[in-house]
Amino acid sequence: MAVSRRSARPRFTLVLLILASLTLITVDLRGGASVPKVRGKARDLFSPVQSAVSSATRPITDFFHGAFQYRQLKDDNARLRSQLAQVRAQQIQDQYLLQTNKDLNDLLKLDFIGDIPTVAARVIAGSESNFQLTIVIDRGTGAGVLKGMPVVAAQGLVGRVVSVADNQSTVLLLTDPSASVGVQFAPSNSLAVASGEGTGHALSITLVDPNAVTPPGTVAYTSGLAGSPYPRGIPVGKVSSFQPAVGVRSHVVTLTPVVDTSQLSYVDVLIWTAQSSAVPSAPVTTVGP
Amino acid sequence: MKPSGHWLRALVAVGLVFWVHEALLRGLRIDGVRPDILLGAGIVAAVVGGPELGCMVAFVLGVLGDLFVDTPFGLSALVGCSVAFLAGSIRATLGTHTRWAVPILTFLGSMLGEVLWALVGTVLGLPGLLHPHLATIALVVATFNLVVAAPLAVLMRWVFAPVVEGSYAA
Repeated sequence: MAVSRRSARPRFTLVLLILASLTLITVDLRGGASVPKVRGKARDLFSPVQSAVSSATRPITDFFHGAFQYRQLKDDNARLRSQLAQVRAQQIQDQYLLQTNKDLNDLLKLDFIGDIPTVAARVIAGSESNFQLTIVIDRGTGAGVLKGMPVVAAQGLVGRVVSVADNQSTVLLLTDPSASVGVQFAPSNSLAVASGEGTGHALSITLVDPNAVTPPGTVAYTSGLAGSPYPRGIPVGKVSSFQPAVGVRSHVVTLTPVVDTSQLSYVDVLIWTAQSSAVPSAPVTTVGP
Repeated sequence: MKPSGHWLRALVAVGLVFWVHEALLRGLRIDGVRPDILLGAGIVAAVVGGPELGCMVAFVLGVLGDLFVDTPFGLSALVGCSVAFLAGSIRATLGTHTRWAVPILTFLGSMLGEVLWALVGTVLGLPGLLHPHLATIALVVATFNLVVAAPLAVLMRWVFAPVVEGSYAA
């Protein structure tokens, strides 16, 4: 009896933990405010540590990269090696600062967002999950960022904010399979919906007019139709392939995003939501081929 | 040692693993995949300390991990404690002299955990999880956890050694 009670206890614990997990999942999926609040507090609490480690590891990584070249000079005397390492570390630091400067300057010249106010943010982490394509930025509600706001880079649309804490936010990238955006092709003005297909894959296109022709190279912008979570005129991507309709099948179109999300350092959050209709939409502009 | 001392050790171990995952390994990507040491630590805890305590540690690590992602809250905890319990139970049936139990069960458990996460996530309505890339994710996560299984086992032995009569920690 005692043995069976002892062997049953771990199973009882497991059942309790599974029930607890299912309860947490249910509470979250029902859309209550408590889970996002708890998540936001936890991220705020931990973000200083994450930011510090993120900032610290980048120069260290660069330094060790430089150190591999430094090892080729092992026959030099200690003084020269020391000076060389210092110069290289300084060069790497300068390159990093130059690149940062260029990124920030590019963000200041976004003509496609018109008069919409923006908040510049640094990308402090990639996707936290292997099953969701997101980035984490270092601006949150404290800087006026709200859930649903569009996020852009110098080239065009990056995604939209899906969760916010006081001083950081999570941005769902366009390429995530759950992301979609209404687009308009220039110059034909054909409407379509672009959907994410995962890392390394082009966006898939569903044309509103099944007969519309969008040859490769055609640029797609956000359509900004009523209720759209994005303002009009932000570059989304270029048509990378167009297979004409065969039989009852419609055209098969894919779109390569204009923004390489794997190389992002800085982004702009547009202080714009679908409800803020008083804010003017961005003008349609063109980007180079 | 008092029972509160054991819980204190567990708390320190969970905090340490969580800090490593969220601070040190946050920017690490291997073939685009982020290592999941939280899952690995839960499995190792179950293999070393038994299924019951192991799945409790895995549950806590899963809940902590879920705080920092935007997928359903509790999903990682559900998968983590289930896989950890399974690994701990298998370890219990193998007896006390199985040298390779920790690395093998950590590797296989991690692969199973990633696949199970995708399956349960799909059931809950998350799109695009059952993709060929899932195999890469599972393999990378499992291989990374295989590499860190030894230090994790040392940590979990420290946590569990004086706690459980009949555990494999000693």
